[in-house]
Amino acid sequence: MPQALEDLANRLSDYLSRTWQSEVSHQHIEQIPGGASRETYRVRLSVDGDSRGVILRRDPPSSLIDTERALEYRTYEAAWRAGIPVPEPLLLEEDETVLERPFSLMAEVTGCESAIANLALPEYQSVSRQIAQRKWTLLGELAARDIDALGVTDFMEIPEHPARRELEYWADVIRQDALTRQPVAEATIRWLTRHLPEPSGQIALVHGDYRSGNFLYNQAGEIPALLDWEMAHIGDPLEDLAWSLDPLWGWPDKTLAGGLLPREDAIALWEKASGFSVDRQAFRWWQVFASLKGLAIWISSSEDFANGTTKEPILAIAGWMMTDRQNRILVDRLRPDSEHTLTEPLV
Amino acid sequence: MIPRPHQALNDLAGRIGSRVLPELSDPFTMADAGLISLLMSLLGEELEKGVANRVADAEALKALFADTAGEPSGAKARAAFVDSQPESLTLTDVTAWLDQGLALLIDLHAWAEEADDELNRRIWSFLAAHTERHKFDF
Repeated sequence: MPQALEDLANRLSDYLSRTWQSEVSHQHIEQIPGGASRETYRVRLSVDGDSRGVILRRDPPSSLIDTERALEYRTYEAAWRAGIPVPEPLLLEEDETVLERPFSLMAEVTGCESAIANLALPEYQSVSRQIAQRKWTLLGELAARDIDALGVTDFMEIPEHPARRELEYWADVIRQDALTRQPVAEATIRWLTRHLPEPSGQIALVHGDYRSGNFLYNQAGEIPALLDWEMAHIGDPLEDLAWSLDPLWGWPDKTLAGGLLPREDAIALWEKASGFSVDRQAFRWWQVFASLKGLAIWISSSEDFANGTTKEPILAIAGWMMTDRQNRILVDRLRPDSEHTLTEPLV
Repeated sequence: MIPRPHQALNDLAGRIGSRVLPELSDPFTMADAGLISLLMSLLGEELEKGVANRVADAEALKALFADTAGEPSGAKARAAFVDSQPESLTLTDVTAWLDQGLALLIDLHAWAEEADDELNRRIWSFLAAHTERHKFDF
């Protein structure tokens, strides 16, 4: 085991022994690849002689998504209390003296996968459609939840105009972080400003990054955990639906949402589970917005790689390849004479 | 001297994949090495095509700006860009030069959306060609 990992595990064990008033030692620790917003580690602990798996998520020196860790952790707590499938949140520690940077701890969810490509493996073929259906059913159920009953209104702002709030936030990210001029993003921001929909009156807990790769599935066809709530907020539930259907997540296949289901099937599942009808005019706006938000995240990750303290290659690759793809998606969406080779025509 | 540095970067990326990756056991380090290898391939492509792509963008912008000399918004600045050249042919200088043109394009596009449908379409055509030129396909 690399010394840095061994040191981290030792410090975590010491801390947990004090915090849990238990005999805690570590049996194994490994860093999980792909965590672009937090450093993520799988840790096997011995707690008073019992083996226990946990996931340690530590703030990185810089991140793909600049988020508020406490808000994310409280969202996990609210979701867990409400029976939404998420890993059990165990603790949040913001004292930087413990592990150099703030961190949170979740219970490990075992026997699962997150990589969508693995759904093509023989062991998943009989349940892949069930998993896909579950994905959009869960999202619809989330949209139908009462935000007060969830308890998220205690720590999240309720926006007066969700679409405007999101557009202003992400347009600002682009203008703050862009390393070069972004003519496609600017044209998109103008289009979104001109077509801003009135608030729908439907307000929900928005996951903020509901896409293939951000949930765990198993061979029983279940989704035991929704992950990566760092961009969660209160907003219009169409935001999550549009984000989940962005062509980037099924790239380069534009017909299957998230590489899983025909788009209209996904929308129908969401409508059935949420009890809402998708307002196609408003949804058109949220689809364009989803691609702009993606572009903002990739632009921001480029900036993080160029100017930040960490040089994680995922930041550079996401910032480069995904910016390129998202720009092409937006041109394909908004160009007046688009042949829609990458996206569906906006209804 | 390595006359084709993009090829050298690709070869080194391939070497990471074929020689270094198989020797690693830690999943995170393996993923890291894979990403670095991919990034090296991207950098190789950019090293080879980056200046040419930006010059092609700038030439297309100049043609667009030359045709819009009579339009009210920013005509002087566009005319100056039509007559301009980058300070040098380094990627940094060519990028900065193109950025000046793209800033002018953003203003012109905002104006065209309201006032000139044909110009708006031409600008979208430019953006389509621009994004196509800069795409990476793996």
